[in-house]
Amino acid sequence: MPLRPQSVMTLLHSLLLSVALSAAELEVAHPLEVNAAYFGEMGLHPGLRAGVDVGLVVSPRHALIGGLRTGFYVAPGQHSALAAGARLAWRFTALAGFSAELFAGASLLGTFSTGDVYGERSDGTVGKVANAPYAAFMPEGGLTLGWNLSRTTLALPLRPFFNLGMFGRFPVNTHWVPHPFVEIGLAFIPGGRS
Amino acid sequence: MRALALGLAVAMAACGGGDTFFVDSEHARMPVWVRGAAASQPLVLFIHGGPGGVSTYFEEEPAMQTLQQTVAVAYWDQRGAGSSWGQADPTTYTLKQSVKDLDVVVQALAQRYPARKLVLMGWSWGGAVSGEYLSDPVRAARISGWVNVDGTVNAFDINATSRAWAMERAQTRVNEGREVEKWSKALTWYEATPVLGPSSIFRHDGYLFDLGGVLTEPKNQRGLGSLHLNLFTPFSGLTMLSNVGANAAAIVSDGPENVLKTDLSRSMESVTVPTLFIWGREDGAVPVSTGERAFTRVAATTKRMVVIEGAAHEVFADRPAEFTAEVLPFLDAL
Repeated sequence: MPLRPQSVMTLLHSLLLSVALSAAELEVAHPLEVNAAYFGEMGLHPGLRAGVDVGLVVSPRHALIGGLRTGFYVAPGQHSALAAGARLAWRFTALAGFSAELFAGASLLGTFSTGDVYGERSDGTVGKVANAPYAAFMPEGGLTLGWNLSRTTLALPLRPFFNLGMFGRFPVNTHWVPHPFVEIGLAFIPGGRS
Repeated sequence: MRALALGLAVAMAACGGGDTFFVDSEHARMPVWVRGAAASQPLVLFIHGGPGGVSTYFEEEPAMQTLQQTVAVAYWDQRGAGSSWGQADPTTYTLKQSVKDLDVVVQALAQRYPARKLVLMGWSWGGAVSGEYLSDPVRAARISGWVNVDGTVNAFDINATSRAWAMERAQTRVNEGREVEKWSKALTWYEATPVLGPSSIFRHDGYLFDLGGVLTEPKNQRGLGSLHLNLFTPFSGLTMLSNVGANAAAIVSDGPENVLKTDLSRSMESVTVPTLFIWGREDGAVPVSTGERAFTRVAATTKRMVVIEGAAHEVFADRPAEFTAEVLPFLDAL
């Protein structure tokens, strides 16, 4: 169906109105969330991730959230990794407490082997050597779907969430390797209503 | 740390089996995955092609599955290739460094599997890596046999012969009226490209695929491997794709170590371990005549060359039964 100029104007008008209303609702607040999640690199390579989120700018519907994360995952036969970093997210919460969130972050990643490592030792012989990590930069981004149960009749200070995202590992040799991941977790909201 | 150890244990329990260890050499972290009858003799180390190819991926090949019922096969992904990681500098993607890496792999296997005879099975570029390794008597003393599968020995000979092979097949297609425009254009390109180099080798490779010089049948190509292979084994398709994308140009870059300038003909005169050359008759990438010329130079007194009809460069994929029927008796006799 062709997009008519009138339709574009109507859409722009609605968007501007929405932004103006949101700005009017904005309030600066610092609700805290503590969260923990199953972290699945490639979905099934298991790991755990935990962190804290702080609402930097919060309105009833919109929130800009800063967070810290730390965790690990194990890709059997390939590598295991420890990560720690920070992220920023924009969250939209609907009336029933359902939320959608776009996030981006960056971490430092230490990558280990998932088995013995052999190499040439300082005396020139070959044998087992330390499983020394390779450091990498780990930018990430994705979408989170959540449900703030404190905004429901349950009134529980919890928000189950599901993440679908992609992180990069750099450098692997000289380049990036993309890694899809999922997270399924639970956030605790002290006092509720974040 | 306890959670990490627990996660590691759970993950390893879910792993696809076999024994995985890693070799760390010159900032490359390379997986070695041992599959099959680990207690049997000998242990075969599969050395992949490319350069820049992959080894762990081939564990699912029917021919390898058959071999694994009788012997153990170790799959090693070389630096900057396959599922290997670390932070290797592309200037180290050389034959000399690959041979050094191979020596660490061989010694690690010897420590992990003491009293096992070790056989090198080099395919394509892996033939160059294994052949050069065996030309040194100290290194060769660690090895009981060599299976050279459509392997590189003299790249100058190979490139000229492969080019002629492709032109002949392209001309046949034109004569038969099959994709006349495409193959006429290819012939014009070949005539303007008398010597294959870094800027032309990938286009040539594309023609070889289309002419059936790599696999006789496209159906013999297996894609990116099974989900199981990608999720629960040392093979990582995403890492392999990233390595290929980033390193292919570096590997054939026009430096003094350029693989297209590799001539190991004289090295063959120092190879004394029992040797089996196994080739596909329809190989367009490393044509059989180049294998025959290299074979005559091999110094080993126990040597044999087999040419399998109806198979191209990936001889084990095109004719798995015929391939294993030749390889298993050779291994048994060592």
